[in-house]
Amino acid sequence: MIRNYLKTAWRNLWKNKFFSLINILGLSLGMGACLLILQYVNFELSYDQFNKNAPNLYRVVNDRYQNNKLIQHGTITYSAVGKALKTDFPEVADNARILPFGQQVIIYKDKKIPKESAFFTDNSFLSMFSFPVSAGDTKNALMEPNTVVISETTARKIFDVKGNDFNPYIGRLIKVTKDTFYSKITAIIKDVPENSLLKFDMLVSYQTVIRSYGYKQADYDFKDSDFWHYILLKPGTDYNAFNAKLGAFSQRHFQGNKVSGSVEKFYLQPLLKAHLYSDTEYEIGNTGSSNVVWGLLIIALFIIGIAWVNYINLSTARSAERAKEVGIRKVTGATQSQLIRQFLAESFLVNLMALCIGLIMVYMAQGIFNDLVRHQLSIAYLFKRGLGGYVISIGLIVTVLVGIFISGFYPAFVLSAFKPILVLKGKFRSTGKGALLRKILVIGQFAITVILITGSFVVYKQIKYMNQQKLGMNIDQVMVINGPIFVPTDTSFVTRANTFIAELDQIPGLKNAATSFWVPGNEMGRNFDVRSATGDPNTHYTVRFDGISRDYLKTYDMQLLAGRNFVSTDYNPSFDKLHNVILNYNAIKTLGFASPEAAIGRSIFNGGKQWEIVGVVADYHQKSLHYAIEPTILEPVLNIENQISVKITPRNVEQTIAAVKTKYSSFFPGNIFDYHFLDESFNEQYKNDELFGKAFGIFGGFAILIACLGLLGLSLFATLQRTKEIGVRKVLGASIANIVFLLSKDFIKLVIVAILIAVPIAWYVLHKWLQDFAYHINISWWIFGLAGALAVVIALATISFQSIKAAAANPVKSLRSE
Amino acid sequence: MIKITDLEKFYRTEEVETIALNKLSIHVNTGEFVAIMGPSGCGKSTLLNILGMLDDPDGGSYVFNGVEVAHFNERKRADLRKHNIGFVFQSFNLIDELTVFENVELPLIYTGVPSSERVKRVEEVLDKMQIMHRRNHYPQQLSGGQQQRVAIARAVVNKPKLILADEPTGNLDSSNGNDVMELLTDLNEQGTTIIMVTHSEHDARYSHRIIRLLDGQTVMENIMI
Repeated sequence: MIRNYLKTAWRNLWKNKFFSLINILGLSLGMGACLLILQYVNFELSYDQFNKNAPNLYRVVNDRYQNNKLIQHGTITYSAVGKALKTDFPEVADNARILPFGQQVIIYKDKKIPKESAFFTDNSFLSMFSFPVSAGDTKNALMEPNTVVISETTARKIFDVKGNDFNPYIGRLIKVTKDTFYSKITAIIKDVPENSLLKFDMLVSYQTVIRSYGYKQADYDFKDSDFWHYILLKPGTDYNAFNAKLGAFSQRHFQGNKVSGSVEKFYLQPLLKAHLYSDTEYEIGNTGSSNVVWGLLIIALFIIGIAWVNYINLSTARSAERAKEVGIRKVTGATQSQLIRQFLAESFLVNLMALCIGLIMVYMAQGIFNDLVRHQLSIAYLFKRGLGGYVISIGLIVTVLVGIFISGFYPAFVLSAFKPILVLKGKFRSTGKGALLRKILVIGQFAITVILITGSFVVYKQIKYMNQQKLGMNIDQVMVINGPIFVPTDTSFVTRANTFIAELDQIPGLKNAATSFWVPGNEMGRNFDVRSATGDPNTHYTVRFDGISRDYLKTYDMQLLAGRNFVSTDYNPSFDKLHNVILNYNAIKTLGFASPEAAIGRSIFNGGKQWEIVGVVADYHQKSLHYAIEPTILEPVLNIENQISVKITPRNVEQTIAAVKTKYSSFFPGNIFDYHFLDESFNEQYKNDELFGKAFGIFGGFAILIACLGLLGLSLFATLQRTKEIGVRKVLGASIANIVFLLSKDFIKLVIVAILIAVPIAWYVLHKWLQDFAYHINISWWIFGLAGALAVVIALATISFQSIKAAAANPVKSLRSE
Repeated sequence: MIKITDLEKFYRTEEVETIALNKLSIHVNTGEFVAIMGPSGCGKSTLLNILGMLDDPDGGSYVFNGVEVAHFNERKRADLRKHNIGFVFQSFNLIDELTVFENVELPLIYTGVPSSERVKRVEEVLDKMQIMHRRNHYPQQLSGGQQQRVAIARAVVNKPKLILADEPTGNLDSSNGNDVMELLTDLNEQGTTIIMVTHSEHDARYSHRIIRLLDGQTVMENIMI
């Protein structure tokens, strides 16, 4: 029986090659696109799932309020928080502190391995998280000071590792960057998986920072707020109930309100949500965007839905052709359920073929897609455990089965319900119901299409807006060089830094050079107790700060609104002797000065010290346009490890870089010259937005293409049905234009209804998306007009492909064939 | 074999109600060859549909082999149909995508005959219809007469007790038409009951009895001698 079904199905497909091609091609494209998107979705959802304790792991989020305003929403907090939580609450099974150690140089004998990213962390980290140990101590690797755990890749860089035996390197001594002491490798772990929030090459025992570096506050302190905490709750603990207890915990321990007048709120965020649902500042890990992930998932469903709608539409539209077969099968004894099974088998065959072709498409497009999402993905990612278990994997299988069933069932139902005798006597007319459903489905397809087109426009416009928005500073042609590490830190560094900058200025092709703690795109530090000397002594403000060298404003083309830039006498190796600051306009407003001019010469308190305002700069965007501009203090502080910003001319870039490198190497021998261009790193902040924009455009394009394939099929069918009518009309004097209009107007009506439905939905969704940006475009009406017009044009072009051919055909032929 | 009493069938559209069968009563004995004649629209095809259990009546009784089937549901009707009734149509109605062999095999598939048995029975009937040499051809590769022979082969492969033929020679020239009528007569002589709708007095003469319909009612019955 099945063989008979499949045989008929196959021969039917073969007989109607064009329709079959449209159906299978549309479904293949849909499935291919869907499988690619779902790889990414599932990959993003799989973050941190590899940790056995993942469901019970949390990180501490610290919200800080000042003057009833949220001033900091971050994952950094005080070193005491983790330990205090463990002491106070029996629900806490374990805790681990993390202090990021940045990029370190690992020194082993004569070898220097640059840029290994490192964390200081407690020994408990290794048992709380699941980073499998390849060699060494599995229990107490980070117990003692001056012990480190490194990844296999790092081990291979340091040592000449043979095969997979890492045991010989346990106990070896290395030096980390400027350490005067040796650290012992106590364990080597497998490389951190790509889907880990925390990324590191090396873990240094937390005791090292306390004892060897003498940073006592890192142990148990409620003042310095530079620490990340991970908490393991006992299984079965309700974390919402636990969070509710943290208000009292904050009251009990925190003294910040005494120090800076700020109110602290702590809460736990599940580790499994950290990657996708992080809107926190001072993010330690590798974050994605839930908006992008869910948005793409919806697009994937749209695409496959559109493809299945094509199948339903084309199958039911062609039902008249299949009607005779149905009639014969009925009179020879087929029951309706047998016929339904037959058409389901056919749908299954078509979907199976489409799936195979789709998989080939995925295989071919995988490289391009991986470049787009910047991850090494593959089909295997469809079956990874994700947030909510295997929901995506199971969902995928269920969706495909349900899709096959529904797309097959409706045509099966329609076809199998024919009255056989009517059909066999040639009196069959397709029902109005089927036509209505087809209309509704076409409207649905095009509504989705219009939403996707509008979405692409708006996302593209917003990204363009962000790229072109005046930042208040010019980041073009700025190369940023990592500051030297291997230099003695003594009081001579001011002179040395100035001399270096002055020498750089001599290089032809170099406009300006400056040093700073942070460059645009970096998260600056915050002071929580800033106030004007003349303002209310009880009102504190939170202000960002940066330490800059004299030519920083010039290097970045920043606009001075009042006062002056720093001069060399503003700088001093002793922090206590520093006195002058430059504020941004936002800070002037925050601190209550009437105007930039009025602020010049006035005093502020900042970090327990009194400073005088010597200059005011116009506001500038230190971070992406997702964030609002914050009040900022620029201090005349030089630090030899500061990043070096170098503004160069666009000509002879290679030579300029080479000259800078020579100068750097002669000034700071033994240091690694490592640079990047600032516009690239700054725009890195928009990587999720850009991915969203590109994915929207590309997969929106797919959706449109598939919808058009369906429309092409339907219009061909409609044209075939009306061949005789077209002939009669032409004989009676209708022009080609008349005929094309006749054939197009029904479809265009549907597209217009689709536009009317799509516009409010698109507006709502995009409006919500834009709210994520502190600075965003307004959605103008013409975007909808353009998207609508485009949809009409695309539909018209698709239909006219058939209708012009039909209209231009010789009417005698069509009339004679009757 | 067939006894219908006061059979009624209406067709309704939004505005008009048409009476297709008006309290029609007919009796057909096992082994009979009956022709039904009448002008277009007299209810011939409606009657054939109901007799073939492809449609249900709106009123009256239909007893088939002693069983009242007028109110059988689709599944029961299909079951009864596939074991007892074979159809032959004017326009042959073969499935274009299936070969001659596969078309004839179809009723056997639906009655669940095992594959080896199917091959045997299809070959047997194709042989009898003298189209064995065309077994792997598709319908469009055959002449009209050959197609109708395939259709008859399909109708009889399941050894039905009743064959319903709807103008079986309507699309054939007289020579092929006569061949088909001879085939039907043979089948009847071997015991199969045949009810045939026809416009052709010539074809009707092959039958034992002619029932003439007008406006859904019997107007005359001729017994052929």
